[in-house]
Parts: sequence; C-alpha cells; structure tokens
Amino acid sequence: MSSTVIGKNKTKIRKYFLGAAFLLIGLLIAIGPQTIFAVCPKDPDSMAMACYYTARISVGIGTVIAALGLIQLVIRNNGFGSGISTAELLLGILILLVPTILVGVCKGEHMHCHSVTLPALIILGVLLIVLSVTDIVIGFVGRNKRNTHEK
Amino acid sequence: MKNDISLTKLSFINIKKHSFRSLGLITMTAILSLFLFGGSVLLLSLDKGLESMSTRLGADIMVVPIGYDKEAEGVLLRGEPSYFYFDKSVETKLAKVDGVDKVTSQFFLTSSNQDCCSVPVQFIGFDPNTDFVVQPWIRENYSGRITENSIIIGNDILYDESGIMKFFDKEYEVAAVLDETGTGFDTDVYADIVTVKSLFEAAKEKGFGFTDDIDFENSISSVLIKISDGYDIDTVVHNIRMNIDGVQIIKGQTMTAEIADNLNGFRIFLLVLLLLTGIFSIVVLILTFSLSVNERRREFGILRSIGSTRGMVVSVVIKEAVIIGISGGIIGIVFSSLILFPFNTYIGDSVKLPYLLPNSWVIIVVIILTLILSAVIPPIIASCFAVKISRSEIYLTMRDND
Repeated sequence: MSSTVIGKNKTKIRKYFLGAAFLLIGLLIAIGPQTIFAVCPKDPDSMAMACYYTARISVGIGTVIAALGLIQLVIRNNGFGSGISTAELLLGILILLVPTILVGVCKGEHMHCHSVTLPALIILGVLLIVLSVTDIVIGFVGRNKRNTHEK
Repeated sequence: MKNDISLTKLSFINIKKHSFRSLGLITMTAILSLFLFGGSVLLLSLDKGLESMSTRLGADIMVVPIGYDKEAEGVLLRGEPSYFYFDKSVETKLAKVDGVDKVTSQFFLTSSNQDCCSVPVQFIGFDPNTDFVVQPWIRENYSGRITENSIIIGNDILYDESGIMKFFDKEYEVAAVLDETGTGFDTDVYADIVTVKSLFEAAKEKGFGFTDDIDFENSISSVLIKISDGYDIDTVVHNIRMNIDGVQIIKGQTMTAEIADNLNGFRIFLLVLLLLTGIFSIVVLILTFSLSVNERRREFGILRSIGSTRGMVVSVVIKEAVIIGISGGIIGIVFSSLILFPFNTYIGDSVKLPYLLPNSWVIIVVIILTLILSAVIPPIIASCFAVKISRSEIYLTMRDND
C-alpha cells in the first residue's frame, strides 16, 4: 500500500472519529442538562433560576454541535473538515461561557446544577475545544508537509 | 546520512506499528491506574472528612430532646437544617450530674430560602460564657470578639463582597468564614445567643410558624457535655439517665464510631473493587504480553542475528512496556481526575459521609505513586516473557514462527 493511500485512510478515520465525537458531545450538551446531569427543577410558582436558562441555551448550542458532527460524518468533501472544527472550537468556547459567565448556574455549591451540570458542561466544552484544536493543528501540519513535498 | 535507530526509538516504532495491540495494552493500564488513583483519593478524602469531624465535635456527650437524635446527627453530619427545643432547666440539671465537668447549651434555628437559588441554613447559637466547643475552632479563623449582630459562617455559605447577610429582613455582619470540614458544619451559621435571639425575634415578626409556642429565654436545643477526668463516658451517660428523664443522649464517640463503621464498609467495597480490577487488568496484560512476545519471535531473531545482545532484545520489550505503562497511567489519572475533582461536591453529597479532599501535596504523592506502579507493572510482566524468548537460540527463535 502506498503512503498516499495510508494517508488518505488516516484522514478518513480521523474525519469519522471526529464526526462521531462531535455528534456525541453535541447530543450530551443538548440533552444532558435536562436528563443525565439535570439542572435544578423549576418551581412553577417562582421565578426561573439561571440554571434553567443555561439548560435551554444548551439545547440550542448542543444541537448545532451535533448537526455539525453529522455533516462531518456524511459529507464526502474533506475540505469541510477544518471549517467544521473551527466552528466547533468557537461553540466549545461558547458552551464554556454559558454556565460560567454569560448565564450561570445557582450560586449554592450543593445545588445540583452547580455540583453536577456546571462541571459536566465545562468538561464537555473543554473536550470539544481539545478535539477541534487537535484537528486544526493536524490539518495545518499535514497541509504544510504536502506543500513542502510539492515544492 | 546518519540514520541510527536507538533502542528507545525502536520501541516507539514498534508501539506505533502495532497500534491496535498497543491501544489495548494502554487501555488496560489506564483502567488499572484510574481505579488505583480514584480509589486512593476517595479513601483519603473520607479519612480526612472523618478526622475533621472528630476534631470539630469537641464534646464527649450531646443531649437533645427525646426522639431528636437523628435530626441532631443530620445537623452535624450532613448540614440538614432542623430545630427542636427543650427546657433550659435541663442544662442546670445536667451540670449537677456526677462526672460532668463542663456544660454548654446551643439554640438551633433555620432560615427560610433566602432567594430563588439558595437553600435554608442552620443557625447555631452558643453561649460565649460557657461554650467550650465552637469558640476554640472559631479562633482558628477569627481572633476578634464576636459582637452583637455579627455571625461566623461555614465554608459553604455564600455571601457577597459587602460582608453583610440578610436573614428575615435583618442585616448581619459576617465576622469570619470557617475552614472547610466536609461535614454539616460547612453549612452552619454560628452566632452568640444575643444575635440568635434577634434572629428568632425577626423570624417571629415575619410570621414563621416554627417560633410559635417557643419561649426563647427558657428554651435550648442541645446541651454539650465535657466529662470530668477519671470518669468514662458510659458511667456519665448512666448517671444522666438515672437523674434526668425525657432527653436523648448522643455519645460523641458513638457518632464518630458509626461514621468509621460506615467508612470501613465503604473502604472494603472499594478495596475489593480495586483488587478485582487489578487482577483483571494484570491477567489481560499477562495474556497480551505473552501473545505479543511470542508472535514477535522472528523480529527478535532478526535483531539477534544482526548483532543485538539478549539484553538489548529484553530492553526493547521493557522500554515498550514502560512507554505503554506511563501512557496508560497518565490517561487513567486524567480520566479519574475529570470525575473526582470537578464533581467533588456531588461525590461528597452522594456518599453522605464527611468528605474532604486531601491537600494538594498528598494528591501529588498519590499521582506519583500511581504513575510508578503503572510504569512498573507492565515491564515486570513483559520482561518475564522477553527473558524467556531471548534465551532461545537465534535459529530456533526464527524458525518457531514458520
């Protein structure tokens, strides 16, 4: 097998792995704050808490992250890859900012949203950032190598 | 062009070439290190929680109204707000019991939810003239005098930069924040009896039902007792039972002993889990290394035929195993840390036992020990097979794979 074929296979594996990872992280961000790492329950008689809005916003951001992962999985054109990773990187930063600065969660350290939802969203956000940055760097290094070879 | 391959480089190339096998080995080592590191930190946190609990209890015996022992334990261990009262005369009666050295009373009160995101807090009012329990550990963080309308708060209580907290629409100044204990003490608010009286009256004005029928001047929630030298707790408990009716006696030792018992059960469970994971990981590592070394007989034969010594062949395998061990160890520690540290509060709340993370340097020592074990176990296993193969004759080694 020639090195070009091996290189193409590796890029394909990376693309599918990233697509699946983005899809999974996106789904967890969208659904998690309502289910697995749920925010505090909303009392119908009182004002909604900050964590309630964090959960609502997470549905939107998570869905976009998952949709981009799905596009990464189904689209054949490899050129989309780095664009999707850049978008995922920005969404990763956004999902970090939502529960920490932009909207927040309940202040009490023992509140479920503070002790579970907040760290879960932070971990998922960091994971998304690490994956996208790694993909962007690998893509950049690969392109540089190819350019050097062509010269 | 110089193109030498060192033994370390050869080990790296082997790991990269057999990526699937290496990934399997790294995963097994990672699982081992995850349980080793996670289990150790969990046990150390529970031990530290128990230690801080014993230090804070301070009294030998706690006396509460009959039937309220569980509530009192809930206040102390889990920070579950509660209030219960009996007559203040109990304190005077207890002071006269044979074997009692010091007595002090406390008054419990709970707040309502302060706003949408807060939880009720427990107020513990103490008498500064007789107190021998609360003030010694308040002094660790606050050397000043606790004045009227000032409060000392547990580590988990939130307050804003102004240092003023509002309860029942009255403002109180935060004099000091206590160190974290991992127990119910972290969610308590301490104040002298005068300040607690003002809180009680403010609650009454706001119409809180729990203040109904309670005469503040003649009511207390608990009496803490220090026994005299030369007496044992059981004798003093017997003396109290003989002299005073309608009270529930909680022995400080019993409370910590019960926690220690629960902790031991948890410790055994964790150790069994760790042992099973360890055995499983080591068995898988033995099988994988045995298969891997055997299927690479030809490779070792070639290395020997081009001049490598037996030691060099063994060294290649050991270096591979060390790289795999360290990589797995780091991955395991990272994954374990991702669960242990960000979800620290949730874990503490879930185990329902005093839970306090160890100091950073203790964690660093545990990380180093876990890494050493992860880096040592795979090479020990691998070297057994590598030495066996290296002892075979080159010709036979190369033919075995044919």
